[in-house]
Amino acid sequence: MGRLNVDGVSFSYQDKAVLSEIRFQVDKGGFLGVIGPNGSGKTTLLRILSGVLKPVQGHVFFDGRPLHEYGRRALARRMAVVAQEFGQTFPMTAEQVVLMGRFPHMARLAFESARDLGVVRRAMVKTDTVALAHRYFHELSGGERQRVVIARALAQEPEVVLFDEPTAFLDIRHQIEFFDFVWELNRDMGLTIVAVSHDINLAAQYCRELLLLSEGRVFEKGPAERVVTEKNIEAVYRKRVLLDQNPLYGSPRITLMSQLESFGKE
Amino acid sequence: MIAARPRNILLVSGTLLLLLVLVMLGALVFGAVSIRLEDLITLFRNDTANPVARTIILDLRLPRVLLAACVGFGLAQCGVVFQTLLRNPLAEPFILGISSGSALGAILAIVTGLSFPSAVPLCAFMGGLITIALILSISQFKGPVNTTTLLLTGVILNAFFYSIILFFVTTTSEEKLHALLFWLYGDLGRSRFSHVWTLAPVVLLGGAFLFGYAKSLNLLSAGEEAAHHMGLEVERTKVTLFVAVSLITGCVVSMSGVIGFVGLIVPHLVRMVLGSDHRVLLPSAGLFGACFLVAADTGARTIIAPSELPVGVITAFIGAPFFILILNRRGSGWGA
Repeated sequence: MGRLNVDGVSFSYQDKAVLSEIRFQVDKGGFLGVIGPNGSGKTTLLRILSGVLKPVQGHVFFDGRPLHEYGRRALARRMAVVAQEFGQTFPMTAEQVVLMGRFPHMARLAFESARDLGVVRRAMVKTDTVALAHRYFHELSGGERQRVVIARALAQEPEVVLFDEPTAFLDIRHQIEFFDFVWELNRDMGLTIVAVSHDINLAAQYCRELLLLSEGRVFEKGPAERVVTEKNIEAVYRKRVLLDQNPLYGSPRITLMSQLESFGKE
Repeated sequence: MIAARPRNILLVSGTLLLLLVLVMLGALVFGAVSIRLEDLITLFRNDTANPVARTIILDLRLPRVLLAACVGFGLAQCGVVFQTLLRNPLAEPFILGISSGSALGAILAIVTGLSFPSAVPLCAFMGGLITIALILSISQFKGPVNTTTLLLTGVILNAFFYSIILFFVTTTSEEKLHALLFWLYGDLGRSRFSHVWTLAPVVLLGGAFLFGYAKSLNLLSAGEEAAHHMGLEVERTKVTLFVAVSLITGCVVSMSGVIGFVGLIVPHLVRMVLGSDHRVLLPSAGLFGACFLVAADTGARTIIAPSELPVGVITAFIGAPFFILILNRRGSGWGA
């Protein structure tokens, strides 16, 4: 039994089936990248893993116990989610945002204890956000905001962190910094990571395992070499790609090919 | 911006409480008949010195000042909670149409001549609750709230209620007219101690209840799904808070009539100075709201003395330009 077990999960919005019979497991300390085309059900799967949506059929088990048996607070002490966009209705400083992460550990009327403040401090040191502590969250850049929200997730002291399209709005420098950081979290702190990603090459480079979704079903799961193949990608994305190896790390690498016959021949 | 430590909260609340006491003393002294501060002290001590001043200060001004404080406290705190719940810096009982719904309830009670005890405040209260139910069903409270839909809902409800209210205002008899106008513009001139003893427990207990949800409100300001991920039972919390602020708003409006914009101006001023952590914001907004309305009401009864303005005229005069200001600041982190 792994840390997260997805057992025959199906989900539909109204009559439209989004996920059917999803079955996989994420081991303790695992680092799973979920890839697949738009509309393949990646984000829905993540929302089911985080308990926002309840599967129509099947169950998600967290450490052997059905997810829905955990109370919200109990689950938030063990699982954190970093979403794609971070709204903040009223001006809060970065530090205030990170402090929110302590909510599931605190009694209703309690104020942050010295330990709570210590956890927050360490989370901000780890994410390199100490210098941003007293700046307004909404005035930060996209990359800075993401680091603050990751600090908030770490302040929850979770065992599992879910990321939804973490690099979608980042430039290449911040993309690589993000994956380096999460890779270290996984290696040094033993955090179990599940990240939905559009970027097949980065996901193949960093994740221990990949899950390829196609039309709401698991098409393939396993190490990058098994998942990212010319055959799989063409079958799922309906586009031919050129496959070779990342010259530095040996992970599979795709190159997109033009549809135009005349392209590149002039 | 101050950190939400217990010591800071006590310090800020203490300072604002002191300010409130000073504003209330000022409000007792100023008026169509002004008295000196020294006389105020003897008045409280001595029964027989000056019976006319005693009546003016203790029987007319004191309950009015206390009620203004309660109303301001309640409206400001409800404004804070509505804004966070609806994730909208412009949400406020008056703008959402809740106040005019209450006024309509009260006016219906007056016009139809309902005569059981507390019929008018009770109907005002019911009118407010029905309006809230309407707002929720029209703007689809579940899930992310659409700002435009919500504000338009308020505008339309206001227009609809006012058309009915105006119908009654034009058709009603002369002697009932003044009672109707009281509800339309908000008037604290009829305050009695009995009103104070009814409303004070509501806003104080309500304030304590809301304070218990301060951290939950912080989470909600980060978005509903994020709040969920941080361990908040989002739907249950939203419903609980909405019912609570609706009840408080209903009680407040049933005592004061429609006093607009207090719930808009005060929360924003306090946020600008002290920040958006609800553990600081809620008590501070309540106390500052009390100061604001006591001052506004003092203005209402002194500016054209010996005549009086309805206090709603003063708050709307200050509030409407403020509303435009907030509207322009949106997108710079305020409700973006």
